[in-house]
Parts: sequence; structure tokens; C-alpha cells
Amino acid sequence: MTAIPLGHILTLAALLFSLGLVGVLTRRNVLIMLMSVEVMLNAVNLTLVGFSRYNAWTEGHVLAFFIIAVAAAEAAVGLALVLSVFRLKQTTYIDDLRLLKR
Amino acid sequence: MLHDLALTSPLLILLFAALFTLVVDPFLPSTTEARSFWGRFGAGTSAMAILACAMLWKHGGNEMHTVAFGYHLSASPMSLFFTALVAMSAMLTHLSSPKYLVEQGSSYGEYYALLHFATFGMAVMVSSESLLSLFIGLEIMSMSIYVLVAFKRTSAASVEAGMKYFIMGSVASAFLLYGMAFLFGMSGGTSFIEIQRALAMPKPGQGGWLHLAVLMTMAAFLFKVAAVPFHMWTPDAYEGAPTPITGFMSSGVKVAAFGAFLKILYAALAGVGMSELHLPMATMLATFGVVTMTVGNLLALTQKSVKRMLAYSAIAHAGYLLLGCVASVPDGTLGAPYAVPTGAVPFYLVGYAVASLAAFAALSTVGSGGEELTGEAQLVGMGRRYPFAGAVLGLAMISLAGVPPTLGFFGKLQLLRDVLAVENGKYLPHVIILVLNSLVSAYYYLRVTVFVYMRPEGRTEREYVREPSLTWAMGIAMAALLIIGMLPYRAMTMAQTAGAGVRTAVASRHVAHELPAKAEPAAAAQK
Repeated sequence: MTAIPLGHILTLAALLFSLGLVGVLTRRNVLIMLMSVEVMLNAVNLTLVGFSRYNAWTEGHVLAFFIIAVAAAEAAVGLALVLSVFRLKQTTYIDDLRLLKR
Repeated sequence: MLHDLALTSPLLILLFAALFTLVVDPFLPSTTEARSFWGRFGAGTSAMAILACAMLWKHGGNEMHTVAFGYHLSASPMSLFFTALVAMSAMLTHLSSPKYLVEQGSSYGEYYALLHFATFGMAVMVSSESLLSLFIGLEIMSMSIYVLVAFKRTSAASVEAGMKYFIMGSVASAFLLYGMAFLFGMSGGTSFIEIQRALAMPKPGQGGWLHLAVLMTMAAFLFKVAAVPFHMWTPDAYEGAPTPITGFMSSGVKVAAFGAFLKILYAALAGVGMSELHLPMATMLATFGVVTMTVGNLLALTQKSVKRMLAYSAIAHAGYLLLGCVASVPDGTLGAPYAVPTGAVPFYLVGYAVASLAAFAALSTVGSGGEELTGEAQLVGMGRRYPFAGAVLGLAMISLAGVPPTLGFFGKLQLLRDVLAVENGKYLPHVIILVLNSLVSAYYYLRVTVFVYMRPEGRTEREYVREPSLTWAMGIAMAALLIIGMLPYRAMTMAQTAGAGVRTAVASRHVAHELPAKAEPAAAAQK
């Protein structure tokens, strides 16, 4: 089995991270923005796991598990917030939230 | 194991208080009075956490034994100082919350549990000795705060503020994590000491990646402390959040973020300025600080709502503190391998946290029945109708402006002195800009006292929220501002010890243990 070089993994992760960042910055639907943040977090996971596999370290795998757990909690909080916004405003678009902008 | 638990006892008290609140709350009678009990309970447990910090401070003479749980947490003087400070913020927030929540119609037990969880997260952040515990603490804090900001479910402003804060905050955590992933990838470890070693001697070809990692980590912290250009979320989140939570965000979150930032700067990134990386961290921080304080102060000038004005003032104070971060001993070069911060930032944070908690406690007396009245014009007559709250608000403003004999004055004085001492006045221009900024800020702080005391009252008589625990919160904050303001030396010395303690755990690791040998990359690649 030929191993995948570390550079490829890191490049893929960097692309995913940028993709997520662009998603957060350009999309206006809060749900899609949440998904984009998840993509960014998974890019981080990929980086960590890549480094760990390449160097036979274990801490990166552990850190990735922690990030997965935190990302799940973050999704729960985010979706609860989306729900409470939707209850009051019947919208999931960030541009419709402009009560505080002055 | 027992030793670890003893060292982390302040954290454990906060954690168990949170769990206890969450578990017992459903069994209490479903009245608002029963919920208000949790405010007093929370104040008591936070006071216990402070007491535990004080005992560890007093008996923690042996530097070799300050690290717990395999170098993930520590009870160094710096950790203890900052843990006590966040617990103090939590105590005053617990005291000033119950009546406000009842008036706003969202008095639930979960509020107090979340407040405890947030405080626990902050305590983990400031006690962390590795990227892993730092990240976990940061996330526990942030996620509790997102929910607390949006806690008034029926208020569109509150929910909107929580949503915006959440999205910006999670992007910032993603940046922090990406930076951390590269710090890990370059050094092969998550603890600050391993990262410091790797940064001091970068392998060929690592320079660019390390720059990227350090910059991303710094950007995430600039977001958390609300520094320009990452300050956009601050006014919205501060204005929409329940008033006691706004106070908690401007005191506790800021204290925790700066505590963790100092640890990152002086324990993990120490040596960056001296190694081949040549990253001018001190210059960058000072520049960000100056820009932040100027932008914050100029925007604060035009605000009509006191809550929003205090949000911009929080940005300005983040600027002062960022400049304070470059003040270090012995030779005053941030980035030198053995530099430690002076007491300037910890001491300034005490004054700032207490003053903003006092201000927001006084502001939560205004407005009742689901309404929040924090415009300047609505404070008219406060000095006559509720003299105590008016006096507390006035004193908080005077302290934030930095007028003697309050705590804010001595905080600013020490910060100026320490920054000036760096490399024989290298930062003199920055300090002059800071002084000019303080003059500008006096205008909008003192304008609030003009509204409270000097404007003629209209015909409408405003009702103020009066309640014993809120009075206690205001009284404690006012006493701290005046007493520590008049006798600042003890607190200053403690802050100095705290600053010097940033590297205690790192130093003890040098002596006590050698790092476990890492598997060689070459050996792994052969598999």
C-alpha cells in the first residue's frame, strides 16, 4: 500500500477550510452557514489526523475526537438558536435580523 | 490523583455547583421566588471557589507541584489569580440577576446553571497548560455564553444577538483550532512547553507554517477580547443580551480571554521574537491595541444607549489591555524566552471587571415588566429617585474614565508606567495616544453622570427595581472600587506575582520531568 503524502492531506484540508470560510462569508441562510462552520472544523480534524498518522503521534487523534464532540454540541446550540429565531421571525436568513443594526 | 483534585478544587466547586443546580432545579416549586434562590446559591458557591483559590495561593509555595492532570491544568499564581477574578465576576452576576430575570419574565433555573458552566469554562481556560484544555475551556465558556445572550426567548433583540454572536464565535473557534492544528503539527505536542521548544528552534521549512499558525491563533484571541478589526459582534451582542449577562461578558469573558492570551503569549509562544521566525509580536500587539482603543472610543462618543456605549468602551479597554500585554520583565521584550508579563494587565483587569460589573448591576435596576430602559435620557432622575444605584453608576463611570481615587486610575497608572518602561520608552508614542484616548473617553463617561444627576426630571416618575441581593452586588462592587482604589499596593503586588507565575508550570516541567520521547517520524514512515 502506498501511503498518501502528508502534503496532499494538508492541501485538501486547507481547501476545505477555505471553502467553509467562503461559505460562512457569502451564504445568508443561517443553516448553510452552520454547515460551512462544520466543514471548517472537519478540515481541522483532517489536518490533525494527517499530522498524527504521518508522525505516528496519538495526541492528534485524541484532539480530533474532542473536536468532533465539541462540534456536535455546537451544532445543538446553533440549531436551538435557529429554532428560537424562527419562532419569533419566521426566517432563517441572517439579513432579516437587523433589529440591532444602527 | 488526590493531589490533582486538590489543585483543581476551585474548578470542581464551580462544576459541581452547575450540575447541582441543573439536577435539583426541577424539584423546586415552580415559582419565581424558588428560582431566585439559585442566585444566592450561585453567589455562595462562587465565593467558595474564591476561597479555595485563596487557600491554594497561600499554601502553594512549592512550585514543583502546581501542575495537575498530566500537564493539562495548573494552579500557578496566574491561574489562581484569574480564576478568583472570574469567580468574583460570576458572584456579582449571580447576585444581580434574579430580580432582573423576574422582571423580564424569563426566570429559569437553567440560567444559573449556565452561568456556572460558563465560569467553569473560564476557569479551565485560565488554568490551562495545554492547547487541549485551553480549547475545551474556551468552548465550554463560549457555548454557555451564546445561550445566555439569547436567554430572553421572547425578545427578538436577545435572540438576534445570540445568533450573531454564535456565528462569529464559531468561526473564531475554527480559526483557533486551525492555528492549533498547525502548532501541533510543527511541535508534535499540545502542551505549551512542547510548543515553546518547537517554536524556539524551528526546523528548516517550517517558518511559513509557524507564522500562519501563530497569526491564526492570535486572530482568534483578538476576536474573543473584541479587538479591532474583529470587534463587529460586540455592540450587537452586548446590547441584545440580558443586562447582567452583558456585565458578565465585559468582565468574566474579557478576564478569561486575556488570561488565556497571556498564557499563550508568554508560555507557548515565548521565544518567537528571538528565534529565526522573527515575528514582531510585540509591535503587532501594540499596533492593534492603539487602533482598537481609538476606534472604540470614537464610536462610543456618538452612542445614545448606555449599554451600547459600554460595549464600545469595552472595545476601547481591550485596546488598553492589548498594549499592556507587551509590558514584560526582566528586559521588557515580549517574545524573549524568559520574559514574563508585569502585573499591569492582571491589575487593570481587576479594576475594569469590578467597574463594569457595578455599572451593569446599576443599569439592571432601570426598566421593569419586560422592558429594558438603558437610553441616556431614561437615566434622568436616577440620582434622586434611587440615590444608591445612581452613586454606584456614577462611581463606575469615574473608575472607567480613570479618575483618582478609584481603582481604574491605579490600573491605568500602572499600565502606563509598565509600558513606558519597555526598552527605554520604545512605546512612548503609543502611551501618548493612550492618554489622549483616556481624555476623549472621559467625555462620554461623565456624560452619563450628567444625565443621572444634573438633568431636570420630566413629569413621569420612574420605578426602579429594588432588591436586597442586587443591593449587595452594587455594594460589594462599590466597596471594592473604593477600598482597593485607596489601598492598591497589596492588590498590585498580588497581580505582579500572578504575572510572574505564567511560566511556573513550564519551569517546573523543565526541572521535574523530561518530555517522553516522541517516536521518530522516519520510523513511522516505514510502516
